[in-house]
Amino acid sequence: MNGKVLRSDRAGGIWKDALRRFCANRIAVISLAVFLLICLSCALAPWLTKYSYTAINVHNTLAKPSAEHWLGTDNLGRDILTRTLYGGRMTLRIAFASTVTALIIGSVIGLAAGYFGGRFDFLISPVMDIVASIPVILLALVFEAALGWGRGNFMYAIAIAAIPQFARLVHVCAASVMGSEYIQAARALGVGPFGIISRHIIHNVAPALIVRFTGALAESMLTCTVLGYLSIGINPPTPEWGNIIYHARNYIRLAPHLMIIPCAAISLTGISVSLAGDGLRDALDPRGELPAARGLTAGFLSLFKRRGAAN
Amino acid sequence: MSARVGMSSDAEKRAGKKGNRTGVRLKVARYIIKRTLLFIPAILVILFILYTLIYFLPGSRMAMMPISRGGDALDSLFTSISAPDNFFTKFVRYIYNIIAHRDFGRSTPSSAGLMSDIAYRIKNTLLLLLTGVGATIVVGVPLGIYAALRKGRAADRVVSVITVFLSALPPYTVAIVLAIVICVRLSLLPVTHVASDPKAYILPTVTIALGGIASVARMARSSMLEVLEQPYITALRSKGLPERSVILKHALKNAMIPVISALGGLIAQLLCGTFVVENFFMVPGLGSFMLNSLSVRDHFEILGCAVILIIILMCMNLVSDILYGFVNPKIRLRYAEKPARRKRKEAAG
Repeated sequence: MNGKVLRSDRAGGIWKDALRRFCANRIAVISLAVFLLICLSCALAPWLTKYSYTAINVHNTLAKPSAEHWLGTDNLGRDILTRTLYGGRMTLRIAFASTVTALIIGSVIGLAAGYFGGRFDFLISPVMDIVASIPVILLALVFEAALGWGRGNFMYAIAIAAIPQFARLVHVCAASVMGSEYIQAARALGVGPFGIISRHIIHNVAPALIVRFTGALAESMLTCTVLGYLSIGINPPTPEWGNIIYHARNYIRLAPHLMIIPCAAISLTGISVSLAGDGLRDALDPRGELPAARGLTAGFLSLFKRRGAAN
Repeated sequence: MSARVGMSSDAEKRAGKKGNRTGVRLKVARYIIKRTLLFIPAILVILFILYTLIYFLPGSRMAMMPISRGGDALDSLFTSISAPDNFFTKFVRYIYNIIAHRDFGRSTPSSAGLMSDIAYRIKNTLLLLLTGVGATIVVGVPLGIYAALRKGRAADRVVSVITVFLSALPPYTVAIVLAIVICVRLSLLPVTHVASDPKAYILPTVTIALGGIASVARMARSSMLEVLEQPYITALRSKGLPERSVILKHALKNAMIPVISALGGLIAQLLCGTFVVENFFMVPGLGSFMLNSLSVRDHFEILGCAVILIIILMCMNLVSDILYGFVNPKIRLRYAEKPARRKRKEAAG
């Protein structure tokens, strides 16, 4: 694949072009790498740390960073690095699960509304308007009240609140594609609804959907930590970035690092996701100019060679 | 798309100058009335969903609520048709009590009712939310437009870096940093809420607004850039119109359409910040009240507060929808000209 890109200066498919544009965007590549690194280290938390996130040591509380505890210990002598990694595991798992659920349900609703139109459309749009106007925090409170406390039931609320944005996006996109002539041509050739959806609509919707997904992911991560901070999220001692910060709040004068570390982790994740999303948006825009043809490796190398003239 | 909007708005203006004002006004009035009528079933649907979720909790006091309140119009109706004591009649009773008596139920028989507990809390929450939304728009929109006009230059980069950072920072982090720097180190403002001191509202408002400013500024920037690429802007420029009036008079109106349409979502997003801020700065508001009732598992209070907040938010949404109709003539016309199609939609909603 590398060789092909090097040889031809012509535009490839939309995905290949997007990849080329994305690789030329230093900031986006770096932030994607940072985000993947965070995800990976959180996912591998049990193998990366030797402590348990509930292991209390009353002889070593509020310790400064040391060789034994890389980021110090909290008010109960638990290793902060371990708790931050496990907390990220929980937060990111909830964020991913709710966003992916919303993506799937929202896309199905949007596709149905866009493809079938008519009555279905009239039924769906007001419902989506209603759902979009319910604030996620109220929904989370009601879900926690209804389904049980502190076990992550607010996840459904985050997912439901994120559905309308996907549904609207897919709906608008699908409706505009359905109006074009090549769909008529495909129909005349006898392509069924499944073929039209899978071959034409999904291809047109996917770029916008990917960009929206990164935005929704960052949002649902922030919502998850806010709910944790308000102690309507996951119950302690299970760590979650929000509830770590909530409990570190009382020690802010004594040991500010208790709070700074999870805050930094959240902000870093949020920033890297939104910067990578911005990069994806620019890369997937077919109107954007293609960078001079370079191999992927050359693109990566240029990250380190030339500085300045970013963007 | 936006170009067409611009043209139709210009065309309408010309029509208005010729003396066709009453027609336009009628359309606007019709739009507002229809929008308001659509808003009532929406609120009822949301109330029904929330009520159902709370009603079917094990041990919910909703289910034990008597359908008779004692001597009002609904009671005589219920007795005359000998209504059964079930979920639906209780829902009707709940809604009727809210509308007729402003009674959101009481958590214990002896308490004075939810409304008297939270009357002054609503004021605080509304104040925070409204000033937060106001500050967001007043700062965010000009910031985004300034960045769009300086596209690619240093000012644009600075604005976009700031907005990326602000939108990724959770509200509690912002609150903590502000409290430490402004209240503790510089001791300029009080940290916690003091009812008589208006200065105590400054930090909470700033905290709420900062997150919103980031998203509004990004949205305003991208939509302004999109509008500036439209052919009608080039036409206006080549006509010799000064840049100032091209931007402020012609581009701004179209650039604001996506921002205003996202206002409803923005308000819902800022509510999240309001909860955090009320909790952090100890402002007695609906958010802190709800968290308290959550910790004592008082479902009546949770539902009542949720209902009040939903009504407040839906009213704000209605205002932003009507504003949207004012800015975007396409929407207004759609509501005014195709009554048959809209009717079906209303029936469905």
